[in-house]
Amino acid sequence: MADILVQDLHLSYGPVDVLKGVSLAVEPGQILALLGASGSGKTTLLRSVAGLETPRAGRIVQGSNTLYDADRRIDLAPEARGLGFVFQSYALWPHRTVNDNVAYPLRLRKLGRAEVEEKVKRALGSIGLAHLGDRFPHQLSGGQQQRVALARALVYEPKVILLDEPLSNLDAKLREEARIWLRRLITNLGLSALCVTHDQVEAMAMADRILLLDQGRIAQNGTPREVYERPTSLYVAEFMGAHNRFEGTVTALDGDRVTLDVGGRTLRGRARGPLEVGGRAVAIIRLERVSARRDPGPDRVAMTLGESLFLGDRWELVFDWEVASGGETRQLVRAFALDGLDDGVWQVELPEQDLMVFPVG
Amino acid sequence: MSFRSFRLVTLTLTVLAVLAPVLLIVYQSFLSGPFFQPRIHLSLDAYAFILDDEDFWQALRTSVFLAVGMTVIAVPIGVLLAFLVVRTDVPGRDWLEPLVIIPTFMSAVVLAFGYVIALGPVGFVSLAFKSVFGTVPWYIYSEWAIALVAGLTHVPHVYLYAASALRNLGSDIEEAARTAGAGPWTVALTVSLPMVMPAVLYAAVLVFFLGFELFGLPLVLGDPEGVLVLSTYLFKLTNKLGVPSYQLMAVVVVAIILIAVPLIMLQRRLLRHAARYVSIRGKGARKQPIRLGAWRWPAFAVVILWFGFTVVVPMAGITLRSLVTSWGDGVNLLSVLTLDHFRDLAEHGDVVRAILNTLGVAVIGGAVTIAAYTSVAVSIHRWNSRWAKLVDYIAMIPRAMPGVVAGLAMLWIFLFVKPLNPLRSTMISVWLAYSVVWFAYGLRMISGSLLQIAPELEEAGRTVGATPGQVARHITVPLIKGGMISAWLLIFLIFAREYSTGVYLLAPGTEVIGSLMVSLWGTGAIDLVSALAVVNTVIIVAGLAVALRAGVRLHG
Ligand SMILES: Nc1ncnc2c1ncn2[C@@H]1O[C@H](COP(=O)(O)OP(=O)(O)OP(=O)(O)O)[C@@H](O)[C@H]1O
Ligand SMILES: [Mg+2]
Repeated sequence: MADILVQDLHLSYGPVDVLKGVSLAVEPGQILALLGASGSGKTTLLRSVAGLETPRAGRIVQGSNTLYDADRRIDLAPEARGLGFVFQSYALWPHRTVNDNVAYPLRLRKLGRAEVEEKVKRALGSIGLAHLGDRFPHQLSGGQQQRVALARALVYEPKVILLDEPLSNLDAKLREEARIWLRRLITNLGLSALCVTHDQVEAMAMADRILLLDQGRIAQNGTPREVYERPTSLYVAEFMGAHNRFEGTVTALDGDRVTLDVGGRTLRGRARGPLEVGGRAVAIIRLERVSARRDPGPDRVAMTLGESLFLGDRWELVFDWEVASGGETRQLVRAFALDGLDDGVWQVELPEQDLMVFPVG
Repeated sequence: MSFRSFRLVTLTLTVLAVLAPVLLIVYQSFLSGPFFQPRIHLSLDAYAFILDDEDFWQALRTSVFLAVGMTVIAVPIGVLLAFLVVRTDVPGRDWLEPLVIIPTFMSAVVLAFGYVIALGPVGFVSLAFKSVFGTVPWYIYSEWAIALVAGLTHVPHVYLYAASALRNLGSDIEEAARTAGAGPWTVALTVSLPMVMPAVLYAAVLVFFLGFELFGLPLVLGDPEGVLVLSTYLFKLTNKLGVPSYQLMAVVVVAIILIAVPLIMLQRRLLRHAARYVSIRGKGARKQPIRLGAWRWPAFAVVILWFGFTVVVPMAGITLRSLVTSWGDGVNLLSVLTLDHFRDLAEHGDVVRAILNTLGVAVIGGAVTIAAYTSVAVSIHRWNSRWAKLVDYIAMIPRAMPGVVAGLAMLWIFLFVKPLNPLRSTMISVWLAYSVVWFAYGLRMISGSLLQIAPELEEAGRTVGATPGQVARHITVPLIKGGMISAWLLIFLIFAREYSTGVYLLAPGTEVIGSLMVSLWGTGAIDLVSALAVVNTVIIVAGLAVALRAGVRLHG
């Protein structure tokens, strides 16, 4: 039985449809990342699960417990759902100390004083903030506030925790540590989690599954590797990772092997959707799949190195691909490399199995 | 009690408290006699009588004259003061602002008494002037004098709106004009002034509206020459026929409400418009004040002159009066100094009760009032329902009732509803009338604080398991504690100053300083009145000092 099951959820704000039939399942112990562009409805979906928004149609079930069912007119109040929710802004109550923030859910559950104290201590201890219990939220750093918000959502031991961009208020370095720590914490406690993020790297690092939303609809639902390596649509392919994009016309098809004409040059790749000869198509290749060689070979094209950008852990190389006649005369091709290259002409390899070709229109 | 029943009870009580008086008045206006008499029937006689009464029309004309007159005086001066304080380097601009706002907290009757004592035919200032120049070229008991005084005392209302609009005005807008080659004064006249026009227009309508609500000034300054405005006409009507003529009073009240309602609607429209206008502001960065150069001190003198005439002259007059046994031509003030009037206060049971009642209703009553306003505000907070909008509209109704009217309506309610009869001559009736009159003002203060709360703070409460009622008690209300305390201090100032709402409710046991002063002034007990006025002012100034120390913003 799934810990959270959402079926065909629809939600509108007045005339605006925000969720247009979303379904998902979070299996016990899994972390599901909700990924999508700004305004795609991630927060709205998460808030609907928590009971903070009222959908128009659909069903939300937790275990054997129906939280929302439009047909049966069930709509449990947020406080009756027993989920944990971590807000993007953390929403720590400024008039309560850290201890009181974390103790509040327990007091609501009428636990004895000693038990409350003991659980708060344990919760704060587990996030390494036991010594800060008497401070007020504004006396904490952003990272500490984030942990307190998490402790407050976990202290009453919900089975499922919902997180809305929990790391977005942290600076880049802290964020990378926090996502490892957060994933560990959730899996150690055996929780299921639904986590909104708009950072695809974060989603892949943290989640067991990724659900990509596009304007209120599901674009793809799969493991991080599936979504990254086998995107089912151009939208997904372009959303995940840094890539090169080529537009062209299909000149030949052989099973899933495609030959594409890009402004007079020929590229070979793999079809990722129904293509037909003569139709327009877009080819996508991730930057890390592109490499520069000295010698000509299969799938290699001669290009001039235009710029080398030093990124610290690697270089980003920008090549000028002079296209013969017909289409655009210039196309930029980007690639990652561990070492910088000399200026000049290079044989740039675009491996056939890594070039994903999608139909357009 | 669940949050839903709490909301239901709160809103039902609110609607009752606000609507019942109005409905009773309208009902009474269509009766042939007071509602408590036997053998009365529905009738339009009262309307016929009032519409036939030349005095009514004269009072209406005078009200219009005063409303126009005070608007014409208050608006330009208010805008000028706002411009000087906010946008120029006039000396002392930091402490001028609280100074300019002070008259909003002064009791209008106290000021009116002060003017009579200072500038009346035998006033301190008049006599001094006469001894030098041989004659006094002004006469304070006239419509023109009332309009002038009312205009000057309402300058702060215009000031507040003009000043906040000027502050919100992005300096980028002015700087753009400067870089385009306009001098500071050209910018002020062609850029800043037009940009704050919507706020000024709103303030103008507000002042015009307040002109119809004037009571203390025309009562004190208009009486000797028989100058009546609508509210004083209503007040005098009691004596006109010798018998309680409730139906006639009700008709006058209906007339007052009918005039007020469209003005309130107009204010709402203008306010929305003004808000839109001002929201195009740039950064609230500290602006370079316009240099006045040689005009700095003359500008300062304008502010001080206004303040001196509006506050210092009447207050000095009344204070002086409270310290002398007699006054008049040829009296050497130093030889008649005394503290007897203040000692006398303690001899009068009603005066002592009035002082205690005033403090009680302002401190304890004010706290209960704020609790009540908070209950209403919390009930409709983030409530997406037609009912919430309805309550918002209902909150406007008391604004259409000047204090005298609300006091009268409340008196009738306490007579009309049998179970309430025993409460009529207790402070509860006064407190309820005050709370209803200031409902819109107080509700706006509290909902203003509620709007500052980020919704997630309340939602976080729900997700960890709190019911709406628990969220309200444990999160929402604690978070606006500061706002509630400010609101309490402001309500204290307002309740301590009130005089008009209490006049009809004045009875042994319900005396408050304001209404007792009005009644004592009618009997000519000037010694007592001036001492009481000083006591009243001391209470208000003390409250003001506490409020300023506590960092309360004196305006909404
Ligand atoms: N209260 C509301 N009223 C009307 N429209 C709303 C409201 N809240 C959100 N929307 C709209 O619903 C859509 C989805 O919003 P949502 O907050 O779920 O996006 P999101 O995916 O979380 O975006 P982000 O990454 O920027 O947080 C947006 O187009 C937004 O404008
Ligand atoms: Mg969001």
